[in-house]
Amino acid sequence: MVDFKKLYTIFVEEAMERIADLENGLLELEQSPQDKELLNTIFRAAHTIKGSSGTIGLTDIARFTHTMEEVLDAMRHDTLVADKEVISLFLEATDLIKEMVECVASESVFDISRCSALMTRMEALREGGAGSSAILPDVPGDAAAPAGCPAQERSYLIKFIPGPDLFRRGIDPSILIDELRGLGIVAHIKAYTDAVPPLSELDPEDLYVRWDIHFKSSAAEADIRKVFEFVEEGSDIRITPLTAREAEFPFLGQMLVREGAVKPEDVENALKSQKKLGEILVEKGKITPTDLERVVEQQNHKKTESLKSSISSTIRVDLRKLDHLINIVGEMVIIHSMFQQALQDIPAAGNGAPGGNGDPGQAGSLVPALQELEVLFSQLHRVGREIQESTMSLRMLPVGEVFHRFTRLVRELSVSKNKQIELAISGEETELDKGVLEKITDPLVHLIRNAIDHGIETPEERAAAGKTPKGSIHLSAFQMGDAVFIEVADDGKGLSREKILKKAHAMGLVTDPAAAREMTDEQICSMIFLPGFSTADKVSDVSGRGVGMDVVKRNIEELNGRVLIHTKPGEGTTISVKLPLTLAIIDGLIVQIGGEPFVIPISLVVESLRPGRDDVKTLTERGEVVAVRGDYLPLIRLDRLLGITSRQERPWEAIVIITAYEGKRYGLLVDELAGQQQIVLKNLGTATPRIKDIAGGTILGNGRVALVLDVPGIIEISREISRELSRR
Amino acid sequence: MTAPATGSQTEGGRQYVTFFLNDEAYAIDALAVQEIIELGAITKVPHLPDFFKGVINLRGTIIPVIDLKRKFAMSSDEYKRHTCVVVTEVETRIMGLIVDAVSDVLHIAEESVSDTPSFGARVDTAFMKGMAKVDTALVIILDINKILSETDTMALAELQGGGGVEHCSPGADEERRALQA
Repeated sequence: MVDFKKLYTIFVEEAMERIADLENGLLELEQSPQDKELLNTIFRAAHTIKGSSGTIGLTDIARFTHTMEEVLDAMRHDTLVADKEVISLFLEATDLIKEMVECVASESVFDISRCSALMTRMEALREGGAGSSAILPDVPGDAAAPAGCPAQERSYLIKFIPGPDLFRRGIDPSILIDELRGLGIVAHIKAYTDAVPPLSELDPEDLYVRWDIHFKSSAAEADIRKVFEFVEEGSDIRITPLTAREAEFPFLGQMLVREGAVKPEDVENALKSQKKLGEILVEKGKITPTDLERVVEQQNHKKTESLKSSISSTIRVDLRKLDHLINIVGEMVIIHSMFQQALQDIPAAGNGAPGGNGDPGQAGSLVPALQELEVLFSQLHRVGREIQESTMSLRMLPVGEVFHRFTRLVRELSVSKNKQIELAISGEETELDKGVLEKITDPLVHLIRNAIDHGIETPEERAAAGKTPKGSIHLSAFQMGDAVFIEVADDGKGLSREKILKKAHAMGLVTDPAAAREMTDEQICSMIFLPGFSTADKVSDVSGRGVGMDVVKRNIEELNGRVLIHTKPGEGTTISVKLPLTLAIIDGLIVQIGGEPFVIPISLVVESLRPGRDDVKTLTERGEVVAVRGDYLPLIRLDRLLGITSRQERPWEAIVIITAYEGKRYGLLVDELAGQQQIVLKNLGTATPRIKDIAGGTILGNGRVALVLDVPGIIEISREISRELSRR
Repeated sequence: MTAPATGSQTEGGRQYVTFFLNDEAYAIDALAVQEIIELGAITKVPHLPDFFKGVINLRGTIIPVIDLKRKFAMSSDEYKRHTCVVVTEVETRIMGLIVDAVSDVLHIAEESVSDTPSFGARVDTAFMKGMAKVDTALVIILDINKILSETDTMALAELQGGGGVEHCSPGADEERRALQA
């Protein structure tokens, strides 16, 4: 039996990619409607979805995309212009396909009747051509005449009821269908097997099946009939031309008609009277149009929220990367056999010398063999490292995959906010670990929403400030050292120091006005990442509820990343997210605390030093600070925080590791440094409770588990402690 | 086939792995046992209750281990010569249980399992599924799911109260806090 589950999985993967192509293509097309190559790309994407869904029997999707394809074809033939409304319609259709594909993925049932309104509109577009009033929503297209083009493709329903002796006459019905394909498009074939008798009465040489074939062709009916010339005798062949509506709507309505339950006019009328749920509710006075608008907008947000889920759990790998990996593995196999050879040669070198036992030359002849082994070993080591690097690179994906999805988000949000915003993207080829990429999507959605909602002003405000009415958001990525930076930069109004301070004051975060004046911009900016903090004057539905920025920060810190804000009042805000290249392997500093090894990610270490006896001071007998070149940094005793008995009570006999967090530096006290190595970060097992100051664990060379410290978590805990103390 | 409800020989019971905690015999569902390993080096994890001994390296995967004798607050909790770790897996969550000597894999018939009697406040029966008589010995059947799910609620408490007030300076507070968790 065919494994449908597997087929569906492959289909969903592919379809999601094509849907992304569709969406990006459409958005680009809006900018350059004359681009024929672009149109072809979009057409191909729709065509691929149609083809692959049809192949595995997802006829609903196939039929829907087919309609799309038809309209696209009209655009290719210049009978229709891709204006804003057409693009919007197509984007809506793309969303619907996405939902259908998601239903396939989640094995749930999609309500196919939801497609009909859109399909009607698309049909109307195709038949009405450009600029016609037919593109208005909910006006079903004129079903009848495909008036315009003379070489118009027509749809036919071919009922093919072959005589039972077809096989015996040496005719294969599939050949007929192939022949049909030469004339046009076989959109759909339905086989009726109800005439097949029970096995005991079945004559294997008889044909019991009849077919309904949906066929599209610009060929004349007579030509189509010719295909069946040889089988006409003894078979029943009925070819009925279909109106466009009939061809595309073998849905509930048409099925009912076919079954004789209702008349075609009834279906037609019902479809005409069908309105969107929202409109009906407005009509009945249940909700106001503004309410409706708001909810519809929220619905749109839900759609954008599903951005993240659209990244699949499989990965597409550049063939060159795989080839490279295969080459190195080949090399390893060769070295392996060389090793084997060298090992076999050792006894030969030992015993081969004449005289056998006790020959003084025996030890000497071993030397070259050992030297050879050493050379081989170093080669093996090199290959091993290359394999490791190459394998890691398989997990790397270009960020463009995620970036391009934001074009849609910006388009829709800027329309709903009445702002003009252009999204510029650069550095999309920068590669990032797939795991990181997945987790960064959500925070980026938040950042971009914030930029649209709070950053960029309305066209009027911008004009008043002497700026171009169109704002811009620049989404960029670049690699620097072992980190990747992703930046969201807007040219909006920037963060207001006063507003943040006012809010901080209201929340009781900053009580001393003098201290507030001394705070650096960076410190002030970092306050917007606190839970419940939002500077929006009014709460809007896009952002401004004070959830978001703290989630952004937490998500990024979970990835061992950092968030930095640069803002200039009136000129804009840039938020940079610094991310490690990969999650799996990090450079770690191994430290000893109370005889136990702990790992601190090197990316978080500024420096380490042994303080002088006079450099450590206590404040009100509680807090401790350490002086580092004139600055006093809070000293965090890790042993106390972690509840371990330290071996070094006196800081001047221990080591202070300086780390920076949110623009401030801190000293972490450890017993001693034990080295530096690359470590593989692992979680502590699904059954282990999550602990705020531990990021995970790693396995050291001796097989023991060492815990990896979560430095931001540690600093937050110690801050809470001191906050708690100051309250007492 | 309309089989009688009772009297079937093997279907009416389960296989159990039995082990000792001091002198008492305990059993857990054999299907939940992944393997039994020697007690190796344990890395202590801060802030967790003391029965939570820490984490170990199980062939490259890190798993937590708990000390059942401590968990049940039994009198002596030193390790013995045959002390080992029973690695259990329930719904992809893996956990090691430190026990004294694994004794047997037994089939215990359904009908020989009786409910845990109520001991009043002195004995916590929350993790016990029932008791069974095997030959002359009494075996206490443990509910591995309950033990696992308790660490979950612990995790929740840790997340919510993470970095609470008890962290303040004297290190001894940690122990107390951990015990409270």
